[in-house]
Amino acid sequence: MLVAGPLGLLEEEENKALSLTMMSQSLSRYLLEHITEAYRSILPASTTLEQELFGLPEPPKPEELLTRMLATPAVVSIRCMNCRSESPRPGTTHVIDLMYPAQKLVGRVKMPVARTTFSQVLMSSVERETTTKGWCSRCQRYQTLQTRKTTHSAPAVLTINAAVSSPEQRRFWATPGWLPEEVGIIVDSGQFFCYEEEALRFHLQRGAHNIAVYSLIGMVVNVDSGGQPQNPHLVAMVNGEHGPS
Amino acid sequence: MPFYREVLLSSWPSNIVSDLGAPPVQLDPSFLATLKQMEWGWYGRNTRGLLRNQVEDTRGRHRGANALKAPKFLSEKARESMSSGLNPPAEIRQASETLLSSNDLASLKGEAPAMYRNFEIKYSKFGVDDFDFRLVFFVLGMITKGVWLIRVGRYYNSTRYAGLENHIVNSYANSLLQVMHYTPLLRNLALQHAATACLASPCLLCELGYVFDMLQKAEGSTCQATNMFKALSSSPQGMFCYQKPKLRLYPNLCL
Repeated sequence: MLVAGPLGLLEEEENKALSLTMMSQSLSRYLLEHITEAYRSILPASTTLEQELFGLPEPPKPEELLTRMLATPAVVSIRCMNCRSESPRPGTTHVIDLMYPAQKLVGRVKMPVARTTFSQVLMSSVERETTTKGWCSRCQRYQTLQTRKTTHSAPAVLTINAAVSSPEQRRFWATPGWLPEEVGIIVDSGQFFCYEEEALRFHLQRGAHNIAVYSLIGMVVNVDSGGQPQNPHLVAMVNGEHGPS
Repeated sequence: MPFYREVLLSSWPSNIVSDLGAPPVQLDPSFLATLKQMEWGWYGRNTRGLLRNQVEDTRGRHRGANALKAPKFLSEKARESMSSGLNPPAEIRQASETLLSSNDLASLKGEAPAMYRNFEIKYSKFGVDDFDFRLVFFVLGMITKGVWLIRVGRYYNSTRYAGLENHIVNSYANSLLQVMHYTPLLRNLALQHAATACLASPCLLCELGYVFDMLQKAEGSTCQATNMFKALSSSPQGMFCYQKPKLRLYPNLCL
């Protein structure tokens, strides 16, 4: 059973320690998971709009619609660095947690990260290439494992979790214009590409790939003045141009 | 509450309402260092620049000059305009000036600009409907160039974008609900589902659909997502009967 309580989604006494940001991030994950489950359970009366939007030849099944709208179907492949064996695992997600480039340590000084664009961060977050220690069932011992995600398609609604956990990561967001109003995404044979600004215009002009342009609809922002003069609170920012008329 | 014109006995004028317990005077550490300690306390020269018997107003400092002045209740205003005959938009001008003057690029500053600060809705005798939400919204629109600010709790609002009240438990979710509401595909998906014969109870997607429908139909007045939050907090045994086993691990993975 999946209940909201253990996930820390409810404002209760014992959850006081959790930050609003964490709660909101988990809630978005929970809601999207739940939306897909509930939507799948019963057929909507009409899906003509979606059929038109996605240019489908026949009325789509709920499953197909969900993949096109919310889910990022992906396969996580775990590779043992020792025996080179690979094991795939389903890794479909509804929310993309951003992974920021690690800071380089030169001596004892943290070097500032060279200008990394939002698209670059998003690209590496989708691929999620990480190295961890783990059990390799073929070597029968703990080995260094490399995990990587292969994505087959991108949904029409991309939900991204900023997952800011340090002042350095917050600096990205504090840079004016770091978050572009539009990004272009190309998914080609398991590879995920993301472009913004100049590169996006270039790709649109060239038209060699099937590029999907995403507009920023809105975001949930945590306003925190370090407890002074007020407690942190969340604010929603929405671009009214995409809103209902 | 019946309609009334005369002043109620319970509405005290501001001159008899007084603050109790002022915060103590903050003393300069360098001043403290000059004091001599005795058994009964400390003594030294009075270098504060105030008379010995003069009391410092420590409350005024805490209010802060940058804070927005709370607007008047609509009923108060109506009474005022009845007596004075004119209704100058002075408050609007003052509030917008506060906003504009504090709008320098502050992305890295510790303190958030005034317009993003948290406000508490004050409830008058007439409830939330009495609150004047219309004050400065158009100014916000101008500042952020096409990006509209939907304030959680909808304090100041002259637009057709409805807000969600923020005094309910779990109202931290309001901002997420707002963003989802303005995502056309998501909104449509929830509305579609709410229109089906879904029998799951409670069903979060149905509740989402109702919230979105309400936000759209409210045309700028306040809404509450109480039912949605209730559905969220009830532990739904039947709701997840179609749950796939793999998702049962979820609570362990998250947080």
